Order: sequence, then structure tokens, then C-alpha cells
Amino acid sequence: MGEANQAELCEQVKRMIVKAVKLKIPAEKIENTKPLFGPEGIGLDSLDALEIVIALEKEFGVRIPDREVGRQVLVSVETLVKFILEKKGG
Amino acid sequence: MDDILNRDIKEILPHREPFIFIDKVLEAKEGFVVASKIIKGDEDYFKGHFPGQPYMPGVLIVECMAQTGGIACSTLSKDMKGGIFFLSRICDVKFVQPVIPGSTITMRAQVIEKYPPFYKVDVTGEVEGKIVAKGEIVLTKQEGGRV
Repeated sequence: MGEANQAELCEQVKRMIVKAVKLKIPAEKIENTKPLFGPEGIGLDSLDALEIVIALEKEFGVRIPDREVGRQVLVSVETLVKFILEKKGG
Repeated sequence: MDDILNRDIKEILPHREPFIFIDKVLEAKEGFVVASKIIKGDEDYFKGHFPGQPYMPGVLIVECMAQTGGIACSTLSKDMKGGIFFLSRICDVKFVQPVIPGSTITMRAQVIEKYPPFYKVDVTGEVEGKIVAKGEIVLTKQEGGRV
């Protein structure tokens, strides 16, 4: 996948997060490497993980099967994009 | 699954009086449960909600549906049986009709999403075939088994 397409995928993922968890900050304000959870993060809590897992499957057709994988994937926009690309073979 | 139907509710639910909001389980399949609760009218909460005009509080209707949801989750696998499920989120629940003394509420709960320990459950409450409340809830399974 080219850089432009990957950048667009990042934006798509950010929009998905904002919509899924009704985040109060706009998608364009989310940095690719900013943690999703924790005090340094964009403000998601553990229950939001469920909403992101659901949205990820709905919008991108990829499933995070369990929390073990979730701990690796639900880290930042960057890790989510990496997971989508791996699953999609991109 | 049939064993759930014939068991005392205290063997299925981890709750105890005065916080048991299911009388019996009527139907159970993997991830789906129908249960019922008779609202007799002598419940303590009717004294204040409201004096002379008894209506079952909406939060307690949610509790009826949440307890049914917990049983629906416990049907998903053997290691879910007997687990404690906390109500973690109430998503867009509507209360369509009031519930008054003498009603029997029939609750339906269908697990629609899972990302353990979180379970999203579609729930409804009906009285005499009419929906009184409906919505989605999220239950979280207590980790480490039963208290």
C-alpha cells in the first residue's frame, strides 16, 4: 500500500474511533502514535475497546479475537492500521 | 441448556434478596435467554415510587433485563457458568410503557457482541406481549471467577 493510501487509512481509522466511542475531539486532532488509552492517551476507557472492536469489524472486516491480541493492537491509530493491513494482506 | 429451566433461580443467579429480579428462566439457548418476574406490588420501592401511584422504577426494569443478560452470557460456555456480570453500560434504553403492580415482565436477552470480559446484550422487557423497555447493555464478567 502506498504512503498516500496508508495516510487515508489512518484518517479512516480516526474517524471510526471518533464515531464508535462518540469522542469529543475531532478526528484530525488525533495523532497517529498517540496512545488510545491511559493518562497520556486520547481519553478512551476499557469499555471503549469493545466499541472499537465492533467498529473495526463492521468497517474494515477485521476482528480482534481476544484481549491478548487487543493489547498489541489497541495501542494507537498506527497499530490499528498495521493490524488492518496485516489482516487484509496490504 | 434445559437444566437452567428447572433449577431454582438462586442456583443460576449470584444475586440474593432483596436484589433478585428474576423469578424463573423460561427459555435458554446459547447466548439467548427469556426470563420472567412477577411484580406483586408489595415491593418496598413502591412505597416511594410513587405514594398512591405505584410505578416500577426504570432502573429496576433495567436490572431485570441485566440479570437476564447475565444468564444469557453464562450460556456461552462452560467457564462462564456461575460468573458474576456487572452492568457496565446502558446504551439508549427506552421505557415505552409503565410497569405497575400485578404485571409479569418477560425479559429477553440476546448476546450480540463479545470481547471478553465485555459482552454487549440486546435486551427487551414485555408485559402481556407489549414492549415496556428495550435497549442495549454492556456487561463485564468479573475476572477470577465467583466471589
